[in-house]
Amino acid sequence: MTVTVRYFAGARAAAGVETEARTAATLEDLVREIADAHGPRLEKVLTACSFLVDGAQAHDPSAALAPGTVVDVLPPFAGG
Amino acid sequence: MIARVVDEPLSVAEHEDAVADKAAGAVVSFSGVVRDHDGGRSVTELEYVGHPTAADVIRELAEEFAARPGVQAVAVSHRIGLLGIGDVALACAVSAAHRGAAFTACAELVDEVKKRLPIWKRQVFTDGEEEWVACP
Repeated sequence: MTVTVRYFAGARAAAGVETEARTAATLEDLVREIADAHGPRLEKVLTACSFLVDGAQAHDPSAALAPGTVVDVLPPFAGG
Repeated sequence: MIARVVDEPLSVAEHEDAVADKAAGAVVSFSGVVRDHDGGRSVTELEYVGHPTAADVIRELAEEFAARPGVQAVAVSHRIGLLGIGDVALACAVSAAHRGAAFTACAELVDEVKKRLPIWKRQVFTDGEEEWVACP
């Protein structure tokens, strides 16, 4: 399924792109694919990230992603 | 109620005024200020960036804390964009009937903002290196 990935903050810096289209059936497949595509720096960042799937916190990495889904890659928050 | 994510200077006094209440015997406020060092290194510049949902999350947090028993009112704002040393990044104020509830709510509000508000911090050191804080 083609999904849109949006990277934020340190994940954006590691991926080198703000947003991209990827093909993946599940969130865990997507994470593996973007780690392979962008290399070890992003792979390391991804271990600490949480994910929003169409704006909702993703709890099940094996749940199917519908076509057109937007996945946000969020590094640990650091406000304050 | 003030509960905002903004890209302009923050006034803690404005937040204190916003929680003023005749029933409040205590107002506790907090400023999170940009300091010139982190982990032993000198910091020259900080940038905060927020997720599009940050404004909704800070509103939820303010409403949640304002609904606490004993709390009269809550005001909280986070600044985003480029900040210099000494600038206020986080301003909050809590009013309550008694000081205990006000101190506790203000401290816990700051903790929850750090935990739940989708905002990130990039710091630039004097040697030109930069890092995204808390990002491996």
